[in-house]
Amino acid sequence: MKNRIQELRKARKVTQQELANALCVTRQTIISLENGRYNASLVLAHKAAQFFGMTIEELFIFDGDEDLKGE
Amino acid sequence: MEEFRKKVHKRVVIDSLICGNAILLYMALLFFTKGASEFGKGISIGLFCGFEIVAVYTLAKNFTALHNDDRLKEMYINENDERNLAIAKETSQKSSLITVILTALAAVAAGFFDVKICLTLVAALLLSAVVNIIVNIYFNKRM
Repeated sequence: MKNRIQELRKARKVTQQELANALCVTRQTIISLENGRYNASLVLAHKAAQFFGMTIEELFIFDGDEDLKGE
Repeated sequence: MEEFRKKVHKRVVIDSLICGNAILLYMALLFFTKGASEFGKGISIGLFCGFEIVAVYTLAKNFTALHNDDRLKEMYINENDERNLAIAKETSQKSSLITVILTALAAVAAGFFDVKICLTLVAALLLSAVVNIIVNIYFNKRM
């Protein structure tokens, strides 16, 4: 699943470590999210959306068929 | 975070009990391994020493975290980071599968040389299957 975390983080001049601290995850998790190697859980997606002041749908881009096939 | 602080405090208490009663535990170990062979005694004492070293290490780690908010938060994040948890879950699943396959292969190979070893490995496989079923039932009821 694609997301706009990197784009929004850079626009707001927030470092990966600052975002990680705010979301209570490691910096490595932020890196993996930004690279699309890891899909956030619903709780983390909610926290991230809250941090950027938007909805989950605006932050995470769901590519229709990707999850229907299973991971 | 307060919940986590309580959890760490509990760990400190348990570790302190283990470290504080090391001599008593050692005495108990010597008592229970009285008639055992030198090899058996060596193994159990070695395991005991390893266990105590881990207890001292975790005691120091948890005690420091309990008195330093930054360390406590860092520890909380490391333990609760969902990616770390997902990695641990995947690692556990894959490694247990690999272990079962290797044990089964070893059991087959051992069958050609030593029946005792073969039966021991088969017993280990059966035990692993039973534990797997029990844990699976537990989580099926819990989730």
